[in-house]
Amino acid sequence: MLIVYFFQWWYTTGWLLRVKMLLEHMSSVANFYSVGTLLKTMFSPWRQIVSTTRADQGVDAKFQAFLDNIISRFVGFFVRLFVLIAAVVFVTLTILANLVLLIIWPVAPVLPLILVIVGVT
Amino acid sequence: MNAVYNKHSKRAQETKFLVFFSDNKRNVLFIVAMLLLFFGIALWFYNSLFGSLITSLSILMYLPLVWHKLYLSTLSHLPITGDTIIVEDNLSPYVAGRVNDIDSPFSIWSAIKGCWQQRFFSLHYGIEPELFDSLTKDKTDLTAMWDSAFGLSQKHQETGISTASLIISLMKMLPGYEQILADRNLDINELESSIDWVHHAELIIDYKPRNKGAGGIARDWTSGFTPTLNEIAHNISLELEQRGHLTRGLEGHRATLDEITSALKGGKQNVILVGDVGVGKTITVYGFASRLMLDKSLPDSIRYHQVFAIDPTSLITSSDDPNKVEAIFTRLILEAQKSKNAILFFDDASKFFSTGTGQVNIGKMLQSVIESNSIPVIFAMTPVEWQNVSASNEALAGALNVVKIQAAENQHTLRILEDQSLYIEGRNKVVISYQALKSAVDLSDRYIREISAPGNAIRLLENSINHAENGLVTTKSVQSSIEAAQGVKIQTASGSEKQELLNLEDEIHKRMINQYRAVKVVADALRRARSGVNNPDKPIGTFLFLGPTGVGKTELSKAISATYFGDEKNLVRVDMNELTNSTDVARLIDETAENGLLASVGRNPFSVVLFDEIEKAHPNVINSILQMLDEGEMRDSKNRQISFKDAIVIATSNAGADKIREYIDDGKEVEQFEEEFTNCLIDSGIFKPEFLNRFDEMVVFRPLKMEELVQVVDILMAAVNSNLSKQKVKVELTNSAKQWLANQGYDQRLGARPLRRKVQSTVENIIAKKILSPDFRPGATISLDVPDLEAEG
Repeated sequence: MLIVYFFQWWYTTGWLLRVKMLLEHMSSVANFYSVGTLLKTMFSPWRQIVSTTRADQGVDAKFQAFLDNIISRFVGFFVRLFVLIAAVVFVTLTILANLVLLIIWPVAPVLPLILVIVGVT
Repeated sequence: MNAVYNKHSKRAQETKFLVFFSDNKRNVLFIVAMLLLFFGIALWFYNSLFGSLITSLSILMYLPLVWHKLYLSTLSHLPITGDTIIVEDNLSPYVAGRVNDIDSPFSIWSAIKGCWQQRFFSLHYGIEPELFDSLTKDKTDLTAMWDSAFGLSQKHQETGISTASLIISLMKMLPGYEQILADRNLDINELESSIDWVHHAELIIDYKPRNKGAGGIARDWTSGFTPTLNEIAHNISLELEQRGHLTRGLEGHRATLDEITSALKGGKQNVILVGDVGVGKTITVYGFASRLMLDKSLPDSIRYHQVFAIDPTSLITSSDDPNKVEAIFTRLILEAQKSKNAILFFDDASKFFSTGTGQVNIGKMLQSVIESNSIPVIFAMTPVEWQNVSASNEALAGALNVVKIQAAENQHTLRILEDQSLYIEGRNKVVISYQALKSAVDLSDRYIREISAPGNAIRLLENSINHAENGLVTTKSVQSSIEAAQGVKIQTASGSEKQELLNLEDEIHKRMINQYRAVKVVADALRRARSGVNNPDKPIGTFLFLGPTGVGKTELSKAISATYFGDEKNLVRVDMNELTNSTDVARLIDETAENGLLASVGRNPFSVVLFDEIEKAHPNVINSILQMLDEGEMRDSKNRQISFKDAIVIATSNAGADKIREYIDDGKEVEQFEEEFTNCLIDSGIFKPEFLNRFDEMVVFRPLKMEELVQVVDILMAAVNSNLSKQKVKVELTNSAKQWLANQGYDQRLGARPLRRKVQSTVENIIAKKILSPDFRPGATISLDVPDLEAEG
């Protein structure tokens, strides 16, 4: 009977579990790359490197500070953008790998039989 | 409650396979499957039939491994849904998988024996598996056992019935189980509470560091760089990420953590943790740092903030130049402000607010940070430090959110120790018994006063590791540890000490003449204390010594100090004739007087406390002593408790000395007039009955007879010879010389007290001159007779 229970699980709960694992892997890759934080802070200055000016400073100084801050935001934006691209690539690869496993899953128990047939022929 | 077991059910077969498919079998299967896979693929190129057959075989071997990993290993207890326990569903899968029958207690035990929970009870509680071998193998009605197991599972909010609950329920089926537990210094309630400890251990065994690097790689990219903070301060958040977050052991600090979180989320972004040393201020901050990383419900304003601990000593001593220190501190503050994700933790914060000469004035800088609310800060101080700081700086006190942390109660400390002991065991490769934990709680509460609970108990437990025997930390290890650290005697007497205690009177009489009754009552009290039959919540003994001057009251006190506490110096003497005014109570409880009563006993609780001439003290002073005699504790002027539970308290009085002489002159023995004499003291108003009743014993000393004074001379001469031993000189007195000294040294009013002075002015003077004379040779024995003494005296 044990073998029946095994097959029951393999084609019901087990298969669904693989779907769940696919979602978990996607989530963990997204978390590793802080996708949410990257999107929320896409245009924030890089590591708080910002210039500030006092009210009594001239237009030149204020313009210089403005330029500095724009550069800091650009640096931040590009670094985040590259990381986001990397995250998208890795999430895609994870999905693909898991999809392959998901497709192989129902075939795996009968794979030995298929292999034997292939071998004989 | 009944139980059923269907060994043909799906779950029963799965649990059987789970138990059968052990770690070793799985490892072997995995290796063989891998080897076959490679071999099969390689063979495919030469012979496709055999190659495919072997590859197929390896895949077939791999399938049960997947089943085990993704399904069987995740099986756990199912909840009890009806009024019947279904063994294969409701018990642990590892126990259910080993069940064959459930018709006798022994058959249930057979399924449990060898599992880690059983070993846990065996190691930590001393409940050996052999005890359960006496369980009956006959078919028995197990309703009571299942009822008990179900009751425990409900009480401890278990899903199904845990193995721990099952073991305890089986324990209750053992004949005389209460005695078995009592032999191990346990009771059934303690054993039942162990279920929570076992669950806790399960969590630790299953614990896997999680949320490492919580927030991902871009988490800190919106915050600034903190090079100075990284160099000067300790990043607690980083330490936790590397070492693993605290997720347990903080149950007692949950409310405090909530308070800190709520304070730092908004408003005044500061908190001062006020609590005694050892209450867990630092661990709370660590718990808070973990919460910042793990709690997804926190707002972005503080989530993922880094907690930096700044040590006052290392900061203040970082440079000899105060200006440089201030400059470093300014940089720290600016970095923290700019980074936008730093929380500064100032442990031992009172040092930052010190204003003594030569101190770096960081306090003012910190105050401006607090008032401007520019950085979230956490301070930690003891209540006394906080009192001083807030008294000297009201503006600062008003600006801070105060969170008080109280010392843990004993029961809570025990729960904390259960948790901590598992880590201590892991670090030190020892096993700590539950009984050792109980001892650590009791003994630290009593003897380690400088640190509060639970810190004192944890420290004692850690120190006890050095006294472990064969890797096991027991009650004895804890007792040995505290004995070594505090110089006390806690363990009941054994070996030669037993013999010494039995012969205590002989030991005391080496320096005391007569006063047999006094010596006996004192010796009895000490024996009671060392055999553990006295009340631990009172002083070891409380005695009132009554009698004329010079009969040995103080000498007996010194003898007790030397015999019981190992040194005469452990005697704290309070002259009560100096406390004759009602306002002198303040002097008695003044903890600042270096050689005062409370300071001395606070420093060394293992003392003989001698209240000399108690009858001369003001009634208010006597009243202040009453509570101490009853409860073994006194409060100082700052309301701190000082324990007298390890002290021997002796009060002496000359009151009624003439009356005693009258009784003796009438030819009465002490035992014959003692009661009448006591009544006389009460009737004459010298002592109130409630005062006299507080003492364990009242002992009347009688005046010494002339022949006893000669024996006193012998004792004094022994002391003189002991002092002379370094000079290699010995002095001997003839009998007539001893008699002469006894006659000359006795005074009706002062008893034997002048005798010592007489020995000094005669014998010691003669010896001194002889030693200084040119014809003196070391190794000489000097013999003295009456004429020699008369010539000198």
